[in-house]
Amino acid sequence: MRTLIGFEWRRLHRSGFAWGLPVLAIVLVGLFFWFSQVGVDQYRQELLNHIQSNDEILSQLIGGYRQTIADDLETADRKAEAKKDMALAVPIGDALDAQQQAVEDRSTPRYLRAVIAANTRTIAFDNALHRVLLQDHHTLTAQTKLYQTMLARGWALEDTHYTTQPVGFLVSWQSWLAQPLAVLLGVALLSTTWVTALFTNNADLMATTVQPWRRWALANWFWAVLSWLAFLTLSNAAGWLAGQWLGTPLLSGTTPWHAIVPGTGQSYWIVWVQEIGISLLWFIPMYGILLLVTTYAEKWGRQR
Amino acid sequence: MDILTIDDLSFGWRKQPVFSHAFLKIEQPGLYGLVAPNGSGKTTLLNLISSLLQPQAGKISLYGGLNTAKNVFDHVAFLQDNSVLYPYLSGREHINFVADTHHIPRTAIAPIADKLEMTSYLDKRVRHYSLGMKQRLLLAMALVVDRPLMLLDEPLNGLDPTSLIIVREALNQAKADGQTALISSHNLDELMRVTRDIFFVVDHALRFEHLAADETAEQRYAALFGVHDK
Ligand SMILES: Nc1ncnc2c1ncn2[C@@H]1O[C@H](COP(=O)(O)OP(=O)(O)O)[C@@H](O)[C@H]1O
Ligand SMILES: [Mg+2]
Repeated sequence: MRTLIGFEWRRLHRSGFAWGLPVLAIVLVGLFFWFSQVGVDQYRQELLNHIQSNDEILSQLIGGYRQTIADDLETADRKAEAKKDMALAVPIGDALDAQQQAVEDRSTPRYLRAVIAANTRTIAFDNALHRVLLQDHHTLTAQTKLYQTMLARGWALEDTHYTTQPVGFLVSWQSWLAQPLAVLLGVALLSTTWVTALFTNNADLMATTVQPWRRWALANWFWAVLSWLAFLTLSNAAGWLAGQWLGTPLLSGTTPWHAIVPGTGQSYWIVWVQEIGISLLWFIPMYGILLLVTTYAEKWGRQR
Repeated sequence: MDILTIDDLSFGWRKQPVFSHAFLKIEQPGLYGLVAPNGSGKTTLLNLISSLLQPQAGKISLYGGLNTAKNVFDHVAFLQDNSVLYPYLSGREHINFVADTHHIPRTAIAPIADKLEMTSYLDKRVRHYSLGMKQRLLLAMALVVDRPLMLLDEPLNGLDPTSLIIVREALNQAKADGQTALISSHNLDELMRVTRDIFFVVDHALRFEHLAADETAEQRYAALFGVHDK
């Protein structure tokens, strides 16, 4: 077994594969980083668009009130009511303006405070008028709670998918690598030296040299799993460095490892470790299945 | 105990029979030829013996047992086509590997490499080998594992005159050591310098002939396969 493990390493090393892998890890992380950077800029724009569209709703509303108040044909009661309602609506608009200003000035705390203010005032407005102006209260309350926590702990606001800050970036990168499809690509890639040997005449040499045959497959499996681990390690290391050197916050501040990933209730650290585990748990059996299937395919094809 | 017996062997590819009801028996150690024109099944036969292929009918035995993968591993050294070599590995890496898997100490390698005069290029990658260098590497791999039966597929192919002499000496040495070799070749002339005990593949069967000293290769070949094959 040691002989075969040694031999499979020589094959990986001498075929240039062992050196191609780190290069690939760095290139892929680089691409994903660039992609994330674009994503962050887009998300910032989305925030602004969202504020804008809420703003428009409010402008219309307030415009309506103004008209009512100014309209000579309206009754005094209606005018008084409009005034009362407008007094509730205007602070929402102010909070939205504060949001926009905070995004433009890139300030997370100011943005969080402005959102909380807007949410609180929206709920108050809705309750007074028995309507839903912007969003359902469930969503608003949840967001308010989350933002209060973030504000209290000093965590930065980031998009969960695209961020170039080290911690968030690694978690997004790692959750990509935990997707079955990504793992499948990894299996396909890392099985190159196996498949090329198995489906060429190299297999004839192995068949007469390795007894029993499964030792070869096991040795290959061993290195494939180690290679995947190395790929995860290297790409995460490269991602960490990229985040440290080139990462920029969505607005301001940094996300620490112990911060909670929005929507999961778990810290970035835990989610990251879990995604690494999931990635490996997918990879190990998937690669084993590939070994089995290719071995039988080769045996079957040989006789024909 | 017979070294090798092939009993009523039939094998064919999808639509093309290669052997039907073929028999072969080797009882005494020594060098045996396996001769036929290209494409008549020499490689296929060696693959069947080493159980890389399974026959449709018939039985192949080695040293008293069926040719299971284990039995083949224990008794057979197989010099295959040079396309089995890894282009990105060196000759030494190949020999080390087969020696290690067969539990042969690596100290056995140097004398064989010396004898085959390949020490100077042993550390180059196979990608840079000439045909003759590859053939000698394959022979070294077959010799180093030190198995009693050697299946040698076209070991004389592509050898320059110097290499031919080296290989012939190595084969005679193996014979003197009591080993058995089944040596395939499409070139009877070349093979007759090594052995006169020859199996021919004729009409999908195997025919054994001991060629007399006064017979020339050309006569035998022409009689068996017709002149157009030569
Ligand atoms: N993998 C294969 N699939 C189908 N036909 C094959 C295969 N290998 C060899 N053959 C055919 O079997 C016949 C015998 O081939 P082979 O044993 O390689 O001949 P030789 O070694 O005597 O030149 C040839 O006609 C060849 O075309
Ligand atoms: Mg052949």
